[in-house]
Amino acid sequence: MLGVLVRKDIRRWWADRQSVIVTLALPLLLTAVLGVSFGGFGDDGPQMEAIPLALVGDPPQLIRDSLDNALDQSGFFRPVWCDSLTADSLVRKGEVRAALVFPDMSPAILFSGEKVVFELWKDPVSAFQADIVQQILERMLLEVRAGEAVYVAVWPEDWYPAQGEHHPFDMFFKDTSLLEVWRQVRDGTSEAEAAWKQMSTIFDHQVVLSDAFATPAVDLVTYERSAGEVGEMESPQSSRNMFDWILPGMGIFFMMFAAANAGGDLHRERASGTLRRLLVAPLRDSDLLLGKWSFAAANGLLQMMVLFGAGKLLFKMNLGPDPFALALVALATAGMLASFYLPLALLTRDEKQLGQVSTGVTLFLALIGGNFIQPEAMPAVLQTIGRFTPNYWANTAFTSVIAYNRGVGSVGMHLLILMSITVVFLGLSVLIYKRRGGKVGLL
Amino acid sequence: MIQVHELGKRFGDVKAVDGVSFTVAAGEIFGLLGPNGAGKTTTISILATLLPPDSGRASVCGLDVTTDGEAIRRRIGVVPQEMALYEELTAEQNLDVFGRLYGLKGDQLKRRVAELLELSELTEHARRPVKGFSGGMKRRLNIMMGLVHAPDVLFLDEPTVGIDAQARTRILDLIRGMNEQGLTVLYTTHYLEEAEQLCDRIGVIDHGRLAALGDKEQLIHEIGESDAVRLLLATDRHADLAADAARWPGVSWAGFRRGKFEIQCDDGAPVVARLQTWLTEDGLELDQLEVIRPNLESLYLKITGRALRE
Ligand SMILES: Nc1ncnc2c1ncn2[C@@H]1O[C@H](COP(=O)(O)OP(=O)(O)OP(=O)(O)O)[C@@H](O)[C@H]1O
Ligand SMILES: [Mg+2]
Repeated sequence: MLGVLVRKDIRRWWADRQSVIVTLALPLLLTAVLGVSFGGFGDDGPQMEAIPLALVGDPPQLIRDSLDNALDQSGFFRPVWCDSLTADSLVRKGEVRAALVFPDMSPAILFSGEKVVFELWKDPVSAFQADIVQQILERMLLEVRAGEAVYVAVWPEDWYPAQGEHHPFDMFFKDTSLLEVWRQVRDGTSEAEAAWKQMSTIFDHQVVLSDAFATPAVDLVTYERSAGEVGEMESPQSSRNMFDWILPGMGIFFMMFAAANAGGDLHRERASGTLRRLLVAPLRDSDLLLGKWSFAAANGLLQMMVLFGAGKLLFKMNLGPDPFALALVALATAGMLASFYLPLALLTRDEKQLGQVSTGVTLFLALIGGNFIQPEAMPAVLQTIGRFTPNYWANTAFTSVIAYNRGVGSVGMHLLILMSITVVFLGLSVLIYKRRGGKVGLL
Repeated sequence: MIQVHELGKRFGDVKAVDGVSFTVAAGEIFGLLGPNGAGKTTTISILATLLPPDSGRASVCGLDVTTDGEAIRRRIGVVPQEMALYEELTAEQNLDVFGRLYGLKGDQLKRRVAELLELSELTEHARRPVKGFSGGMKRRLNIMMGLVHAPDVLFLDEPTVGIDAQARTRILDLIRGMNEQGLTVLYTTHYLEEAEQLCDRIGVIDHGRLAALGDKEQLIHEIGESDAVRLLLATDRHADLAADAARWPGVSWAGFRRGKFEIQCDDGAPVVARLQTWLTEDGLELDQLEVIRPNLESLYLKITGRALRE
């Protein structure tokens, strides 16, 4: 029965040029436009250009080395160390996207109680790439601040006093040379002694803290899991082909529209009277809903295949190490989206209303669920909210397989979540259908 | 075949069907006649298990509409009032889809589809998308769609609305033909001529209530109106005719009425013969002659107080 219903819907879809264009031609066009604008008809597809970044200042060697290392490894940045004048002109000329200016990190400054300020100079012309730098930087600072917060929580008495208050440290760093301080400590001036004591305590505390932070509590370790075996392997190289990052999100975005449109077929069948005919045929209620669901899922799957096929053929897009993993993710995504829009279709009055509601919902979900911006590149708060969108799990599953080139083990949880959403929303649809007087509501 | 007892259905304040009872025997064509909003479609929807009734009972093929929905749906065909076709698909594909939904397949399905296309004279258009069909062609296909699975009972809801007289005649012939093969038909319409031509028995429904029910002849008789022979003579001898005609058997009254000379009688035919003799005896000629028989129209007017037209 289901086969008959789906075959019928596919035939109708195929006969309706307009819907074919919307499902297939538009995504293809988008791929082509993206490809051309990123200049990607070459051998390896459009490469994401490393973002040139100027670094100014003289941070301690340790920081300098680890930063250099991190930036280089990410593959997304090309750091250039230079002085502030050069950096300024490089930013203005657009030769670097941004310049990061380190504050003076000498102990005198660090212990002065003043704020330590990093500066970021952005090139307004390529705001997008500069924003990426900014977001990464903000994340880093957030971590530092988190460390500070811990410190204050544990040893509040160490914290800098409010402005204007007298502090025994003042004598160490205000208008005194270290030599002078040393003399005072040696001679046992009472004030110097108190200050010395307090500073030793702070040093002790900091030693304790730096010990604690020396072995990071949170770290990123990548595991490759395939077919039961678990083991630490070298982390797979993440891809630098533009399409591997952009296309899945875009594809899912289009699939969301296609799924809403397929759900709207219930309204179209009602308007054309054929729903009535289906209702007087010996079918069960679930056949009708499952039929529409299968059609919507098949439709979405086809769309994905065309889009990824084009990406692969034209732009050398990566499709992951494991075709099985990709197929599973695509299937789970198509099924999830098909069920997600069914309740919406059942709750709306007609196709027009469904169109309005679903467009709003889709745009919103796409924005916070990471279809346009990689979830990792979004602020932490949005990332957290994004986790509650169904498309987030589809997006991150595709990113894992395609952009990070991982196997099926990396998306186990994603698949589970996607399938759970599918089941929940299908159940919800049946419930709504029955609740609204089933047939009566639809007639 | 169909039993309806005190059936009721309301939508909010509207009593769409209000205590309707009738039965339809196997092989019969039953006409449900009524103006817009009378409750025809609602009645059919309940019988086709699309709507649950609020009160009363109804059974089709001996199966209860509220409990045996699926079993009933296997045995009935429904032709909805509104066209219900997949416009993007061809006539053949439309029939094919529903044939399969009713479990037909392979050669059997092919043969059935070809047969129905032939019957509705759509064979040469079988491979064209329905989008491009004329109203009459769509109507015919719409009827065929309800017949793919060779049902025992067919519900036809105003299947001839909006098409020309020729196409309508073809559709009525089609239905009559299928009925001769043993199909039981419940037919709703607001065209009197159709009901008169096609149906064995008729129920007149208005405001959800059955206002009259019975054989066509019986119903007409119930109106209590007699035949009337209306005429004008070429020369004015109407007074003589009035005096003579009053004594003819079966004549109840003769005289001028609504601008013409009228002879009211039980049966018009013998009176016209008698009139003919009377005319030749006196060498007279007729200017005009018509025989008026009471029909459903008069019944309608009497029951609903309004003329039944679209
Ligand atoms: N789904 C519904 N919701 C509310 N009212 C309804 C509904 N369906 C029918 N009605 C009302 O019930 C009454 C009977 O409607 P029905 O469609 O049965 O009439 P009908 O005899 O088929 O008329 P027509 O000749 O116009 O098709 C009407 O007053 C109509 O407005
Ligand atoms: Mg009606």
